Amino acid sequence: MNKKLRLIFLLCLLFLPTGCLHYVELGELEVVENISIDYQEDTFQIIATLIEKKEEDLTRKIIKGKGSSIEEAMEKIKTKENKKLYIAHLNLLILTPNAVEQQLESILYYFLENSESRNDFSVALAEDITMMENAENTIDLSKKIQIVEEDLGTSKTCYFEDLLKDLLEKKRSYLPFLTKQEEQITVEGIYLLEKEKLIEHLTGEDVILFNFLHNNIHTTSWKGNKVLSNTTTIRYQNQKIKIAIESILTEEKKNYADELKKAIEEMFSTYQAKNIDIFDFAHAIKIGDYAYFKDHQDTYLQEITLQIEINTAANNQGERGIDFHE
Amino acid sequence: MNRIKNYEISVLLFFLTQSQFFIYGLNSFTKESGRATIIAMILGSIIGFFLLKLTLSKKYFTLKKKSLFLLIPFLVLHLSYILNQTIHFITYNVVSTISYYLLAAAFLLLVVFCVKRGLKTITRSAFIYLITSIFLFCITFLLLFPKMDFSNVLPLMDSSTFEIGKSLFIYLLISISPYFYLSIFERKLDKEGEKRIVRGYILTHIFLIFNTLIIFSILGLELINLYPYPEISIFKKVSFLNVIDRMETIFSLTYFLALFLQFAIGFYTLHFLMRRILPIKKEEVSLLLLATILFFFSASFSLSRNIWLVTLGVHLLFYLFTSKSVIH
Repeated sequence: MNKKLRLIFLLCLLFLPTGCLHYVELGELEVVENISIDYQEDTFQIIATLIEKKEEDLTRKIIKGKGSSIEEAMEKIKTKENKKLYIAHLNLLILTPNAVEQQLESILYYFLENSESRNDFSVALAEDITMMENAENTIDLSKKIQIVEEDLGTSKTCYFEDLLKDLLEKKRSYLPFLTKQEEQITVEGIYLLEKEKLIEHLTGEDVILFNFLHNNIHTTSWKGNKVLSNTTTIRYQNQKIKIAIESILTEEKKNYADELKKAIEEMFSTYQAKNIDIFDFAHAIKIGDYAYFKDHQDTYLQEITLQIEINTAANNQGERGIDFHE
Repeated sequence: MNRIKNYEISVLLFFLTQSQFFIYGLNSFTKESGRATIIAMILGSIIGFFLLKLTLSKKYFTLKKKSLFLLIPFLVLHLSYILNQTIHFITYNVVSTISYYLLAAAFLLLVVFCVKRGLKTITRSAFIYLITSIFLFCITFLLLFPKMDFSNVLPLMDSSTFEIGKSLFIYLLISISPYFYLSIFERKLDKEGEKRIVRGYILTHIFLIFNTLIIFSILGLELINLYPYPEISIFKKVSFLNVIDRMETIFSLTYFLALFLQFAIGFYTLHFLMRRILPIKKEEVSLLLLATILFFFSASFSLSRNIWLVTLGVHLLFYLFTSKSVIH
């Protein structure tokens, strides 16, 4: 009898504390792919892209909600569909300039405190979230940003945790910018964010230079030179920022290094005058000489000079390994 | 009492140290001493090593029964806090929808079952958990390696000497206080046993420092300070070919096992001391009575971490100033 009681008791233990009581069927979950948040006139407007499986295909569905807080707006979305919103598969969070400048902290904390959120999604900026109302346009947006970053170098993916880290450490970050062109959503450079204010929109070559100095170039094209890969190292020594760039090009051209060096120096000078550490040299200074950084946190940018060394190598085989010179 | 082997003691002490470090929280250290936490841990480990060598070689003497009574309230506070933190950990990371009372009751009954079987069961379980933990650690290390950025660890000396000293003291307290449980093992340690304890200590602290470096390299200081459980947050990044992912609950099992063992050995000790003082004949009655006391105490009173640190201090003082084999 004693053994039987123990067995029954252990079986009860197996089922009760493991969460089976509150199990939710897959069909009762609404899997959220993207969330777009705008903040206008003290109201949060949310557009969520939900993934639905119909027979063998995945389709997208758009749903909207409004509320005086994010929780209220998300709750209104839930009520409409009568299903539980599941944000563990969130790919992209899109914010408008108003949402970023007025409610960034509350938005970030919503996802931070939500135990279902895995915080592995990327974040982007869009002028207007109404472009997200067309479900077809929202397919694989985060991948689009990644492709532009890797193939062209004219954007940079910003992940939620990287955004948090940058804002906490440097009070400065960046967000890829989405815009609508001829009914299609395109990626147009990045926006710089400083102390929760959008300060500068970088496009084209400026973003490529930004990516060069953040060691984020995969492949790109710089002044007619096709760059296949690149490594940038930045070190600090005696108020000098030593930048070493090693690029592999399809064809070695003499003017590449000179033009790149000139462009980096010009861009640095422009933002040095605005007191914006565009290339994040603070990180190198912190690692190289923390004592100096601690004493010169507000003035280091005006005191440092650049020492740039660019080395190139040609890869005549091109991207696909075919030798065009045969 | 059951005889346990020397290596089983080392394994148990590994889990006790790991569990206490987890309960205190890496982010509690980093909020105090930033990246210099690693320096504090290294220095704390070295000082603890010499302290351990010194105390292991001291002479034996027997403590009077009456003084054991003093330990009981501290052990009750200590275990209540651990139970509270364990259930909070489970509700935060695993099952957020189950009530505290149900989880606490289930956990306590599991511990009672284990303790009733004896110290040998606890130590043998610890050895099996060690194999599981090593296996899970190896997988997570291999899969997290591409995500490590060791520049997140620098600059190392970003805090003042006072802040590093404070972290060092607390780390020392957390590292040496588990050795208080050496007092409950029946036989005296021979030279071989002492060597194994010291080796176990060294390996434990190499593991803890290495694990801390991994967490720093993946999350960085700011995210460690932000997340309530940074040790678990890194498991969310484990991903292999989109097949092995979303397994943080499984990987966090290592910490659950450590917490379980910490509570089980503390429960065993408290029960053993109580039976020496209170005349309860039936073991089941005393076990359930103790479980009930801890259940209500942990649920009714929100103990602060400082009180828990005081209980660790009492354990440490008891270990430093009494014999290694108190209870015969």
